[in-house]
Amino acid sequence: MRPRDQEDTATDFGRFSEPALLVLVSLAGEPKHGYAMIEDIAAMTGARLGAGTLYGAIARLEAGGLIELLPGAERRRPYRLTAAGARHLKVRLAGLAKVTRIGQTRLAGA
Amino acid sequence: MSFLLRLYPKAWRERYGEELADLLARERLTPRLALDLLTGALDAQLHPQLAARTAPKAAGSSGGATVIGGFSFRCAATARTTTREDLRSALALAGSTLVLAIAYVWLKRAVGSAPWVEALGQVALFGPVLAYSVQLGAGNRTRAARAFLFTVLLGLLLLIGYAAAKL
Repeated sequence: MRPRDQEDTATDFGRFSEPALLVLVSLAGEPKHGYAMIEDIAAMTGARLGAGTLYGAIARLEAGGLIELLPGAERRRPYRLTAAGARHLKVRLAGLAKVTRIGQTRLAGA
Repeated sequence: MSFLLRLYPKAWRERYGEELADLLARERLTPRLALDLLTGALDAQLHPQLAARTAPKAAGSSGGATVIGGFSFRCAATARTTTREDLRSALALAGSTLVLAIAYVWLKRAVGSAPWVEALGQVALFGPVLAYSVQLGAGNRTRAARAFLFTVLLGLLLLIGYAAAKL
């Protein structure tokens, strides 16, 4: 069995990497259905995810066990972050924070 | 806008169709959104296992979108799952291509470059892909209908190969 850190960084979503990260961040607050995710992501980033891109990311995250459907939900189905999803998000955000810090330090010295 | 959903594979529609339709009912159709759905449908066609891997929870779902036989392999490096059916198709495709290619080489040595031998060479290259495409696109059609479609396409392929060799 792989250590958790490796497990968290091994998931590769290809061109869905950024939308998948945005979905995870959106679900970190509370469970949401597709339309609520689009609205939340638009409020966060100013960009509106297309429905095809959103569900491409959702399918990959669900298949990877990082998000799951809330039981008993009907037509407008909310998703929530799983424990593995929360771990994965922490690792991704820590990586981004490191890059941001390095970038800002280098810009300050330029 | 829901007509665009028909471009998605059946298993995908069974799993995400209702949610996507509900979402689209609240979105304005723009060329950008249409293009996004088209590329999403292409992606879903290329990765049907994504919808098949997740258990469908829709009421009244036939359950046909679950992983076939409840059997799957997990590839650690890419988090991609290969079903037993995927493996069977891949082995059949690779095996039949090899057998036909060997038959072509053997016939070419035995008979020489006759047009029908060259046509068989073309079948060796494209026949298994053709068979796989028919299997993929046939949906719920009967075995007889699939066999008929495959025979017609194979005949067409042989004719093209024969004509090309005669040129």
